[in-house]
Amino acid sequence: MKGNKKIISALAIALAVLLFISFIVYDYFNGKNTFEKKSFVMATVATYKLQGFNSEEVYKQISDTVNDAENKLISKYKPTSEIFALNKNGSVILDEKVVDWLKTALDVCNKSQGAFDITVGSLTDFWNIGGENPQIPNNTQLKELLSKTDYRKIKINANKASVGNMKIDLGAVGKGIACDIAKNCLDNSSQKKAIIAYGGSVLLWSKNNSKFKVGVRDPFGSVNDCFGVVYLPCGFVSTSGDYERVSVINGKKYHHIINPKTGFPTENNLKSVTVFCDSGLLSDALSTACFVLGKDDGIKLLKKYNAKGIFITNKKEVYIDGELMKDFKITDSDNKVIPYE
Amino acid sequence: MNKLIKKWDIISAVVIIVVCLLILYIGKAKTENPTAKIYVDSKCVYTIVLNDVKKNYQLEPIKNVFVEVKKGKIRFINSDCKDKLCVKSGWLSKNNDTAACLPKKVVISVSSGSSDFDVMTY
Repeated sequence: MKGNKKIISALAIALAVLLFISFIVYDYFNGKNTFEKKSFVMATVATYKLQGFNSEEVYKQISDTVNDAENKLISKYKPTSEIFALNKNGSVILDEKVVDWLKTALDVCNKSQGAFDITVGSLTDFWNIGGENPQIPNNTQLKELLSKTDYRKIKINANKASVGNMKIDLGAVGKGIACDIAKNCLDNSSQKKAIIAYGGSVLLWSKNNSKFKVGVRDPFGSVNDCFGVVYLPCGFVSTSGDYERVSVINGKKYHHIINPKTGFPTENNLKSVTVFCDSGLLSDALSTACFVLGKDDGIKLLKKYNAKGIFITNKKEVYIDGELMKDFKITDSDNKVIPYE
Repeated sequence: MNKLIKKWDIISAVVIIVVCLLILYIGKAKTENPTAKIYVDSKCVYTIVLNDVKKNYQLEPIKNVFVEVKKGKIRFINSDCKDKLCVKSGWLSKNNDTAACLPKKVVISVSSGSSDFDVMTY
């Protein structure tokens, strides 16, 4: 009898331990544990959330690849970078990745009729919004800066690019490019699901096409205030807003999204634009272009790329693509939501 | 004839199983407790379980950047950066709440098991 009692107790303990282990194993094999990390790259915060095996190794690979791309290809400040060399020498043979990026960015410049312009660097450098020495150009300076702002003067022939006296600034698409690089790494990895963000550009990725709950920041609130949630499949999301980088000059606020045609920060009725599409570089370029263009022309531009947008005006009107509207839930009723087709 | 399994054997077995499940549940609940991480230039220098904070205190993760911690919340309280966007971010307490001092490369982020969303647009 005592023996039976011992057997029963032992069986109970074994069953409990088995249950416990099975929970752990279930979590592990489903990659439910999330690796999270924050770092700094391209002068912004990078956020990594990875689920799967060896997430830390995959994070390191992505981080190294993105840092490499910034240092050797994209940066306009680092002497090791191809864009730096191009701006310094006026003409240079480029890595084919850089050529592809430039061609895609120039396509947006063209289709937006210059509302997005990758030669806007002279203007943004002068204004230095968010930097130590923000300043407003006078008429003479403005004329000079505008003469150096014209994407049409960039020529690409095979792998050779020529910019004349223009300066290329990939700052408006660098974070989107970083998201594209991250996607390539993830596609070849053992990860199950990932969310990676570089500043305002986000990659939503999963092996089995999960949907993601994406909170839409309330541009009138603080950095963690959200006015709605949209369910999105895998893809890329980028946001441009007049609150991201601001400087006060002579008592007036100026934001960082310069209109390449006027040489001044864009003044229209938009507060922010969020774009969702299947390319990081495009989502980044389009959010900037749409902000400059305004809602109506911005919507027309998005249709050319099969991209979807959320436009928020200064009057708290939210214009959202009809297809996104189906999966959108508002959490702050202060905003008026209007779907567009 | 004596029964192979008696009533108390079953009760003991159930109690043991329930205790193990409780341990699991408590363990999981702890990981859902909002946890703040302070990063300085990509390195996590502090991990703080916010609901376990008993007394308010301040930290200086890097020179001239000050962080205040209270039960359930955390914030930048001062920084010698120019625009003080970090301080203007206010209190952080929910999953995905984040504030950053870019010039000083300091980030505070809060994570917990549950959230209304996976990520927020910038």
